[in-house]
Amino acid sequence: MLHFLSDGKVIPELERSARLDDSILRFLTVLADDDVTDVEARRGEAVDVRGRAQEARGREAVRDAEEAARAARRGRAAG
Amino acid sequence: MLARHDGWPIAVRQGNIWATTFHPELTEDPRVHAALCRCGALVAPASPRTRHEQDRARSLAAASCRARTRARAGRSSQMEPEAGDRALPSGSCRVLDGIATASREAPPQPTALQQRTRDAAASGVHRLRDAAGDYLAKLKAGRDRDMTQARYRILRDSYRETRQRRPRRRRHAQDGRAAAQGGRAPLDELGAVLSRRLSAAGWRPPSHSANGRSPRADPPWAAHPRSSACSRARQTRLRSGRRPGGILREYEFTFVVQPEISDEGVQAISQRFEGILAEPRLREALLRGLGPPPPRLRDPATSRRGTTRCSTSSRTGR
Repeated sequence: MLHFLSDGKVIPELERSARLDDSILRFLTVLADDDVTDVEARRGEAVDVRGRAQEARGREAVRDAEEAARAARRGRAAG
Repeated sequence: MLARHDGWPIAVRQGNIWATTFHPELTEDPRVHAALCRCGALVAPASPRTRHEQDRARSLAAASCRARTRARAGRSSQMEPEAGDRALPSGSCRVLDGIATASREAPPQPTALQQRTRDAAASGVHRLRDAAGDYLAKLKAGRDRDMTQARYRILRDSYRETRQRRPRRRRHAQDGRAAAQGGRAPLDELGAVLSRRLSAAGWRPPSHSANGRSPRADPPWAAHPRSSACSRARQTRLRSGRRPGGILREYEFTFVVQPEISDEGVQAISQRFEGILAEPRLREALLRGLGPPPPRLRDPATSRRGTTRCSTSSRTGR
């Protein structure tokens, strides 16, 4: 999912690229806000969202590593 | 087919196109010219704008046909103007000389439009005067080989027709004549009446306003966003305080990828889309970011229904 600000001219190019990509099964563009005035605030919000996403990815990687270590321990105990 | 000679066609016609195997202008028989004049085939197809020129060309052709007929009848040595034209050229020359002199001596017109109208009328008068002078000279010489009579008649008729067709120009010419005679033109009278009424109502010209500013410089209605005097950028600023680059909207682009695509592939697709948004020629994309992670779908290995999953650029795992 991508959030971006535009006046709409970029939408056809974006959808054309998605249509040409065989790995994309479906795509959908939704107009979330028709009148955006606080550009700087949204830019800061996007930076925060990007940071939270990176943190979530890090936590998920840690969890995956822990699950893998736990599975390895179970294997050794069973063996 | 119009004519045959020994069984062979020598004159044919289709629409307004005529073809002959001989030169009708070199023969003594005027029937071809007469037929052309009657059907109007010498001129272009009818259109409202060229109808006057068609009439003029048709008159010229008819006059040429008449002159040829007279020449063939052996009467070309003597001019035979029509009864109404005998006294016209000399009288026309006198009248037109008077008009031309008056137009030269008249003072400049009060407005540019009136001056232009008077110049155009004077030009027509001069052309008619020249044609009348030529015709008079030819009459005195007793010959009319180059159609000066026909030209004079055509110019005279067109001049009369112009005067009848354009009453506005005639009114302007009347205004100009009134001004030339020292009187006041109707337009000036109208302006004077308007000035009097406006002064009585308390209106003053912009130069005499109390604050010294012209009302036309910045009228109060120009500040209204819907006023035509308000520029587009100013309208944009007034409407929402946004910068004049254009209206910005927020879009949400969601895409579903095939389940075989790895996380690195999803990241590559997302980066490609972000590259499209960051292209210099697509400068509209001022802000690009990743949305919140969507809810995790069921694992395709354990799902009974679906074989696809929703991958987003913010997710890393299954």
